[in-house]
Amino acid sequence: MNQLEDRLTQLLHERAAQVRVVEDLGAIRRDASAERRSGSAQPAPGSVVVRPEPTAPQSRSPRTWGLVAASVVAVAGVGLTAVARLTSETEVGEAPADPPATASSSPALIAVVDTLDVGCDGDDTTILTPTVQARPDGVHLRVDNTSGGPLGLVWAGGGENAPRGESAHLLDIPPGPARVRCTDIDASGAGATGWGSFTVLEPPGWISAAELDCPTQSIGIVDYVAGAVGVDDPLADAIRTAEEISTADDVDVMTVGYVTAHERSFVVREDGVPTMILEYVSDGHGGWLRSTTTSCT
Amino acid sequence: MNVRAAVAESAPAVAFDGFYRRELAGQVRRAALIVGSAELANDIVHDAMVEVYRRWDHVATPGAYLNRAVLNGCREATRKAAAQRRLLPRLFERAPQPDGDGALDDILRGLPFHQRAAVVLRFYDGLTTAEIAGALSCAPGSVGPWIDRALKKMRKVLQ
Repeated sequence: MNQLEDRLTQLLHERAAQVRVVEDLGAIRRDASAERRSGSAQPAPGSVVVRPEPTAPQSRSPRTWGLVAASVVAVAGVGLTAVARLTSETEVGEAPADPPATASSSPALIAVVDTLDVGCDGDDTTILTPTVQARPDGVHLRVDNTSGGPLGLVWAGGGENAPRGESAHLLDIPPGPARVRCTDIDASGAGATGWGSFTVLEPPGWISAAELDCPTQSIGIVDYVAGAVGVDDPLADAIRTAEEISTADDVDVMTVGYVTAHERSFVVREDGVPTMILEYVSDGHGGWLRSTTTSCT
Repeated sequence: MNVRAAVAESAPAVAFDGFYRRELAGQVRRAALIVGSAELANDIVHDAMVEVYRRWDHVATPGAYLNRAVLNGCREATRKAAAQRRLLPRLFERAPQPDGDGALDDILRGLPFHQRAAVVLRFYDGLTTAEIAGALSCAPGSVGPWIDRALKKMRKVLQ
């Protein structure tokens, strides 16, 4: 096989050397400016982008549609291969109001934090990291409670206790604008401090909503009797399903949304086009029950 | 908490011009091997560079961002070409054909995108399995089977 690989390497380099490369830096600037003026610029597929609001196609939960990360299963040719989705690119904030006129005007790049730091002194909720990047399992939050006693921590869709001192929390809020606030654990909501606002960036591996454009044609919802036992590996089950129904040569199955202890969702794509969404819920005993099956085609 | 300090720490400023000139040729050549057309490859890399330029102030790792954008462009171009071949055979016959010739281009064009990209990244770019997995947004476990299948198909042609 080594001879074959050496020959292939040689041929690829010979072929690449024949490729004509067009260098036009001015066109880059012109096109970037034109796109910005026309407002037609789109994020690069797969890029990590801040959206004003998480996009959610009709009849899908925002959580499922707004979040994409984690695993990929590639089906190529005769078999299926389970893989995990990981990307390295990261973008912070929205696109600049104007591109730099010259390279020398480019400011320094900005580091990304993946833990939201919140300070609670009993009177105010202080957001120390106004932009945080979600991780594959959700938004990691660290609270520094300096009030001298326990407080409550509330966000859209959830809440936990925040004991005195530092405590860690995991939020399943989707990317986009968000807010939390500390509350007096013994008081009613009226006594809560103000909200602290921040922005959640998509986690690495995020796929833009356009890549999951699934014009829903039909949704199958399954109800189970109490005590129903699910499959051990929902990803493997999704693979089997894709294998049974897909005839395309290039099929992949990707995990959609945060990888949590309660829900898992997968999208099946054929030649890069979403064809099916499979959602699973925990059976409470380590197994996973398929809750919905959505056909995209 | 040392969060403010972490936010304030900035990577070294990198001039876009230098980045562009450093990355352009390699990206175009790699894309050309994947999509089978130098013209299309130049367009794909141009569009990706425009995206990088627009987000230059905000992209933490422009090289990785560019890699992903170019590979996504190649994937999209491959998908569109396949759709054209399926849906518009007559128009496709009259449309500009890929400019590569020879057995290598023929066999590369016959591979699914993932196999083709994995082969190019491994044997042209010399990337490791982990690096290919990162570039294609998949796990290392998927890369080996893709390359193995591609090599099986290419063996007859190359030997």
